[in-house]
Amino acid sequence: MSGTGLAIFAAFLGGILKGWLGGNSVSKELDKTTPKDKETEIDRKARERVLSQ
Amino acid sequence: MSDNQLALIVLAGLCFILAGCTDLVQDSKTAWNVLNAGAYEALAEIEAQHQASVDAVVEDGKLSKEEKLAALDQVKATYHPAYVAYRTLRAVLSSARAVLTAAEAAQASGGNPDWGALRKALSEAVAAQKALAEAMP
Repeated sequence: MSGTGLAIFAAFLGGILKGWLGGNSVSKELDKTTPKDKETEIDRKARERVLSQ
Repeated sequence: MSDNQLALIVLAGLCFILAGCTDLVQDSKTAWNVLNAGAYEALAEIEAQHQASVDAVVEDGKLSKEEKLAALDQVKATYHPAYVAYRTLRAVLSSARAVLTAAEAAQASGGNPDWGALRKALSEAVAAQKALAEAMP
């Protein structure tokens, strides 16, 4: 079976299993908080490191 | 898991949903969770690469202070589109989550969920995920 076929087959199996095992765990997944990205922080700290050299 | 594999899995899930083979709301949640997990992984990858790039500039002993600052501006410009695409994906996922919650509530009360809105929301999320994969440096 090709990689694509395997991925699709895995998706089918995963979807069936996840639904079969119950929706509660999925609902909990929906409640994950959104992480704030660190773009500004990474840039700012790098500039500070250069300026302090 | 690569972005292509993730997109394939989500698309396969959507095809499965559209074919009406399983509980639509439940499978939509599964698709949403796959996309959500992918967003987390993508952000971690962007930040790790971004950090490595700025570290390489800061620790480059051959560059002057001015050259380093200019190089950092270049790094910033390189990674900014990926962060924008990530934020777009998060916003789309947030909207899709609201649609999912409404569909779940409608289903629980014996009503008819808005299937069109659900499909549209998940399709938009897949498109945003693809855009993020393309925006990765």
